[in-house]
Amino acid sequence: MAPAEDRGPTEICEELDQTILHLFDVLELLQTKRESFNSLVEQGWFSLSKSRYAMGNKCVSALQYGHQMKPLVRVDTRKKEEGQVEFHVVSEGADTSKPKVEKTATVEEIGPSDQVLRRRKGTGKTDAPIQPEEEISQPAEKSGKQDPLTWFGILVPQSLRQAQKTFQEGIRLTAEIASLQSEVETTRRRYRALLEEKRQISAKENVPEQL
Amino acid sequence: MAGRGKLIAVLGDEDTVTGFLLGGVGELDKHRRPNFLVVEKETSLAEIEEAFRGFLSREDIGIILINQFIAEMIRHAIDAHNKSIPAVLEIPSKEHPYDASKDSILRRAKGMFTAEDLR
Repeated sequence: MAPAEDRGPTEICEELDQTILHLFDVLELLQTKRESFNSLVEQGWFSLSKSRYAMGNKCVSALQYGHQMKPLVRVDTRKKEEGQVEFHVVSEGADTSKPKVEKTATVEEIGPSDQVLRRRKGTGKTDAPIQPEEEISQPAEKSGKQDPLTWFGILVPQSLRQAQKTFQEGIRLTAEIASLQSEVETTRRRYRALLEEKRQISAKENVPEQL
Repeated sequence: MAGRGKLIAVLGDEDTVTGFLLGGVGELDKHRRPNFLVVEKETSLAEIEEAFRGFLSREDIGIILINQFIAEMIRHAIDAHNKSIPAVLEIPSKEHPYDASKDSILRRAKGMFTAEDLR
């Protein structure tokens, strides 16, 4: 962006116009995305209601949520110029590097407790509690990444699968909407800054005229 | 944690939260702290506001989805939030359709144009 002294009121006015046009484009896109998101969410609710009809009223409720939850989707954030942020949905599942690191961390934590247990070796029952700990930790990691559909049963109706698909599509759209919202905010800030600049320049120009 | 991407938090009625959790956004961390809150009839305003502020303060949350009728209850907290991350998205609920004129972001955009600016 050129320094304030280099630009005259005409250039600033042109940039203001460009900023407003850009804002309207972003707002229009935001409205379109919003409409598709809202219709997706509505479809999802309808599918959930159909599942409730098929499975029973209490079978699709908050009581069914899993005791362990690991996110299957995350959002990647990238900062652009002027504080604008872009959001991208990233599906988890292929990423296996982190659990390995967590595993080594748990081994390190076991170290001191192992020493404590060794002191009690006289009882002859030291090995017994360690083995179940390892056995428990492995299924916990696997079940943490489980498909949320399994909370509601193994043979779930097709409508519940449809609801999941619809909400997954909705989640993808949320990232796009969040990016557009961030763009609206950045454009709004740029517009205010340009308007302030224009005011300052016109104030400078008006002073000699009045004298 | 930041390198692996951020979470999507949900604050809404049972159907909204259930739907998004089905989509795979839910997380219970090692302290069993959830990234969602199911708002029921008996949920108090203080609980909702506390959960919302909790989500705002968490660095691992990138987007907060909130039903617009709940957003209306804590509008002051949403209007006060002006950071890019986490982004707050107002979404419709089963009984309350989305109203763009209530959305904080769109109201701010609308406030850009005052009669004085257009002279």
